[in-house]
Amino acid sequence: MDEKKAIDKENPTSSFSRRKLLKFITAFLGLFGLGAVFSSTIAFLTPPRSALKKVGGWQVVGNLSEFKEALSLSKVYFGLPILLMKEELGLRVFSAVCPHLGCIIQWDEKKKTFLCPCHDAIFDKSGKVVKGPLKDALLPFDLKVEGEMISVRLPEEKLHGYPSWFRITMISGV
Amino acid sequence: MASWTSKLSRWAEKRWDLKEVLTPILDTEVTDYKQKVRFCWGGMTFALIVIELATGIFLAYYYQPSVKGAFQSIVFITDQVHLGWLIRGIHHYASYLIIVTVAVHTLIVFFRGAYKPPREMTWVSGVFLLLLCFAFSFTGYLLTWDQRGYWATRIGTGMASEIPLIGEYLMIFLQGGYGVKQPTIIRFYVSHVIVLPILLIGLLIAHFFMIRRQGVKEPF
Ligand code: HEM
Ligand code: FES
Repeated sequence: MDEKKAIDKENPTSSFSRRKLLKFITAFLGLFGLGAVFSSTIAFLTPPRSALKKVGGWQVVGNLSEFKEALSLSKVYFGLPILLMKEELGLRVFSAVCPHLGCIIQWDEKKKTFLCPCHDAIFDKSGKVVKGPLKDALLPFDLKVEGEMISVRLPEEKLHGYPSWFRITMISGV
Repeated sequence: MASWTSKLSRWAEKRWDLKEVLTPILDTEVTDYKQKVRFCWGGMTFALIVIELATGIFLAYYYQPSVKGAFQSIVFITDQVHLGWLIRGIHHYASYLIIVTVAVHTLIVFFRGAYKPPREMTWVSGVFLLLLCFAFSFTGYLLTWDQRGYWATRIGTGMASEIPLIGEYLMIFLQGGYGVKQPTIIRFYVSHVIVLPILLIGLLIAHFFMIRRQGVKEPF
């Protein structure tokens, strides 16, 4: 027993020795360095805040006189397709981006419903889902009329509850 | 008179003593079971990868990674550049074939049980190669900047955004911003032609090194 202990003492790797401590410190610093390089790389590749420009605010998108020819108008709001509607409920505006997977919906004048061509979602004229592979209603835009001019605004507060990609796409414009 | 090839090899032999280096690499017996079609799918994938690298380099001489230039430069390559249609066509169809061959290769390796020790690390490197193949396809698909490429990317980054906690960050990270726009093209282009090829070549070296050291698994 005693003999074995004596041997261990002479063998520096078998107990906590200076060599072990140095190895430990080197490993720690090495890992720390690798972590720094890795996290800086990710940080570099992450687009800086200043590159993340949101769209928002009022934009003039049409004129009341345009409704003489049609009861629904396809327009764009900072590149986002939207639909201006004039029906019993009055003047209304919806994002034309389907909240399911992002295809562009159309108004079916005969059936008085919105139709998405991609997976056959149908929305009633208030934007609620009638049928289809999703629960989220169409996103209504804020709207105001000054004289003949129609302005609309993305209602950021209403984006809450929509899927992430939809929220990000809406504030990005297209 | 000695043929020109043996003259050439003697000339090289005198200078660099190549036999010593090449013999252990080239002098391998190809046993019968290796000549079955089921052992060819990895090699076919590799052949297609070489084709992709070669045609990709040609395409890069004319391709412009920008919203204004991308689609135009694709049309230019196809319609104006001498044999451009051929180079682009090969790059395009070989990329589809790679997915087929790499999938078959993976399945065959799986059902033969060739992933078992001592070949686990070959399998692990293979999984990363498979992911790389998908990454090549995903980034390459956007570059034409046509309706198909644009919407495929929108769907892809949208899928990423559904991952809990990191989803939104990941979507913005992949796109280089809130939308699929100019920063997205640059990101995908640099990944497609610089970053992914470097990773691919590194992993292929590891994959092949392990296969040559261990040989392929014998049939049951
Ligand atoms: C870029 C893609 C790839 C290339 C170019 C490639 C190439 C090759 C080649 C040439 C072979 C030897 C012959 C053969 O069995 O076909 C091989 C074997 C092997 N590969 Fe791949 N491979 C790729 C992807 C993968 C993937 C995705 C996996 C699995 C997840 C994988 C796992 C393996 C394994 C375990 C072997 C040994 C097979 C055996 O011993 O029979 N490889 N690979
Ligand atoms: S994208 Fe509209 S129903 Fe799927």
